[in-house]
Amino acid sequence: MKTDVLVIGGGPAGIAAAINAWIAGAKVILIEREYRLGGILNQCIHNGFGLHFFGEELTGPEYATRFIEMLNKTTARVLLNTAAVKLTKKDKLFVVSTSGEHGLVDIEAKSIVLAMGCRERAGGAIGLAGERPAGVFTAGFAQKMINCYGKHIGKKVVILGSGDIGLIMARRLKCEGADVVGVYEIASTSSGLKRNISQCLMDFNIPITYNTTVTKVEGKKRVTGVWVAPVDKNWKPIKEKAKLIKCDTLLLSVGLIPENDLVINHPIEISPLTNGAITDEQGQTTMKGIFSCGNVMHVHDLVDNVSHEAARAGKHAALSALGKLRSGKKIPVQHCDKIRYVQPTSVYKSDADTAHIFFRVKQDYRRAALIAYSDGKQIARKNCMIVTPGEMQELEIIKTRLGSDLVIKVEAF
Amino acid sequence: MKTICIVCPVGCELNIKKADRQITVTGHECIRGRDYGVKEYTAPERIVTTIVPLPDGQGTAALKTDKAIDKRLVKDALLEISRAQVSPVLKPGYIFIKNLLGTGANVVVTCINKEK
Ligand SMILES: Cc1cc2nc3c(=O)[nH]c(=O)nc-3n(C[C@H](O)[C@H](O)[C@H](O)COP(=O)(O)OP(=O)(O)OC[C@H]3O[C@@H](n4cnc5c(N)ncnc54)[C@H](O)[C@@H]3O)c2cc1C
Ligand code: SF4
Repeated sequence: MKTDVLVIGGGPAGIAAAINAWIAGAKVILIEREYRLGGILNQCIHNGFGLHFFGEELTGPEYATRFIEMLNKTTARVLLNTAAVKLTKKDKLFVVSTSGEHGLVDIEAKSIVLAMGCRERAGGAIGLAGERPAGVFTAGFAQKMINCYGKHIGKKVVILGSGDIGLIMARRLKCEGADVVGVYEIASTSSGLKRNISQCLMDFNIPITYNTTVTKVEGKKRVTGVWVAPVDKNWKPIKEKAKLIKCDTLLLSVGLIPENDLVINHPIEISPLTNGAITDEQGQTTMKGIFSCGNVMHVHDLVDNVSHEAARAGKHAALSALGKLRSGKKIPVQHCDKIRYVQPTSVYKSDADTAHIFFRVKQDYRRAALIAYSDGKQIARKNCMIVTPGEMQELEIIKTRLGSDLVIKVEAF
Repeated sequence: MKTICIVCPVGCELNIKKADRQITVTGHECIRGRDYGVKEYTAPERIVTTIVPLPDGQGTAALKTDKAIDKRLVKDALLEISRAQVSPVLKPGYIFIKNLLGTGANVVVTCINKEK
C-alpha cells in the first residue's frame, strides 16, 4: 500500500492530523489498532471536553464523534484493528509494517504522523513492594473496564496518585457503588484540576491525604490491604508511621508515558523531560518527514490543545510529502528556569503568521506574567493570578514581531 | 460549608455561612468566587454522567443528563438510571429517560460501547 501521509493512531490527535493533511491536498491513510476511532476519549464518559474548541462542554465520546464526522467527509482511508509494529526507511520513503485484519501489510509513505498517545505508569515503574495479587489496576485501565465493558473491579478501593484520571475514577467508582477509602498523594499538592478535587472528591466526601504514599500491597490471590506511610522531604516513606488499610482494590494514577517504542531505533531526539519527540513549530521531529502530535509528544490535559497541535502537524506532514514544506530560518525557543519544558523547541521566522508555544512551569507561581521576549523586547504577554505545573500554558507569538531570538519567561507582576 | 472555587485555576478555599438570611462567603480573591460560593450554597447543580450495561451483557451505553441537575439529586438520579430498562436499539443521541426525577433534564445516550 502507498500513500503520501500515514497517520499512526486514531485518537483525537490522529483524527485531526488526518483531516488537515487531507485538506492540505495529500493522500492519507490513518491506522488504529482498536476496533474504532477516538482513542482515550471513548472511555472518558464525563463532561468537560471541547470548551475551547466548540464553546460547549461535551463528554469524551461526543468530542470524538464531532471529529470523526469531519474525517468521514474526507477521502482519507481509515484502517481499524491495525497496529503499526515497525518503522523502517527505504530510500526516500518510510515503510510501516502493520499487523491487523488484513494480515501483515507494509504501508509506504512519504511522511509519517506519530499520534500513538501514551500509556500508564504501572506498579513496577514506581517500585511498589509486595506480591502481585489480583486487584491492582492502573486508573485508565479500570476506567475502560468499567465504562466500556461494564465490569465491576472491586468493592473497597484505595487510589494512589491524584492526577485527573485518579480523581475522575474516585467519583466513578463511588457512583458504581464501591467504597472509595481514600486518595493518597506523595506530593504536597495534587496535579489534578481544582475542579476535579471539588467535584470528584469533595462532592462525594472522599478524603485525600497528601505527602503520603502506598509502600506495600498485602494479599496473595486478591488484594486484602495496602500499607500507606507519610513521606519525608525527599519523598522517602517514614516506615515507622506506616499503617495498614483494608481494601480489595488498588488503583494507580501515577502518570503517563508517551508511547514512542516505534521510533526508538531512529535518529529522533526524545526529550528527557517529556519522554516525547522534540519538534519544531510545524510538528516535525528531528527526523525529516516524521511529525508528532498529541500525547505521544507531550502529555496534554486539554484535548482541545491536542486537536490544534495535531492539525498543524497533519498540515505540515502533507506539505512535506508534496514537497511544498517551507522552512527558512529556525529560531530556538529558550526559556527561564521557572519553566520545565517548552514545545515546540524551535519556530520559523517566516512560515505561518503566528506560532503557539506550549509550556509547563516547575511549581506554583502566584501573580505570574508569562512573557515572550525577542531581541530584549516583549512580543507577547499574559498575566495570570496563578500558574501551576498541572496546567499547560500557552503563548501566541505574532511572527512579524519576531526578531533574531525568542525567550519565554515567567516573571512576577 | 467549605468548598473550592473552580471558576479559575487559583482555586480559593471558600467558607460559606448563613446568618440572618444573609449568605457570607469568605476566602475568595475576587468577586467571581463570591458568586460561585453563593450558588454552591443555595442551588448547586451538576451534570450527571454514567453508563448502563447493554441487555446482552456485551458492552455499555454511556449516558449524560442534557442539563445540570440539583446536586442533592445526583444519588437518586444514578439509582433511577440503573433501574431503567435498557433497550437493545439505543443509539447516540437517543433519550434514555425523559424528565429525570422531574428535573426537566433528559438522560441521553452519548456513546454505545460494543465491539462488533
Ligand atoms: C482519564 C482521562 C481523563 C481526561 N479528561 C479530560 C478532560 O476532562 N478534558 C480534556 O480536555 N481532556 C481530558 N483528557 C486528555 C485528553 O483526553 C487526551 O489528552 C487526548 O485524548 C490525547 O489524544 P491522543 O490522540 O494524543 O491520544 P489517545 O487518545 O491515547 O489516542 C492514541 C491512539 O493511538 C492508538 N495507537 C497507539 N499505538 C498504536 C500503534 N502502534 N498502531 C496503531 N494505533 C496505535 C491507540 O489505540 C489510541 O486509539 C483526559 C485524559 C484521560 C486519560
Ligand atoms: S475566587 Fe476568584 S481568584 Fe479565587 S478561584 Fe474563584 S475566580 Fe479564581
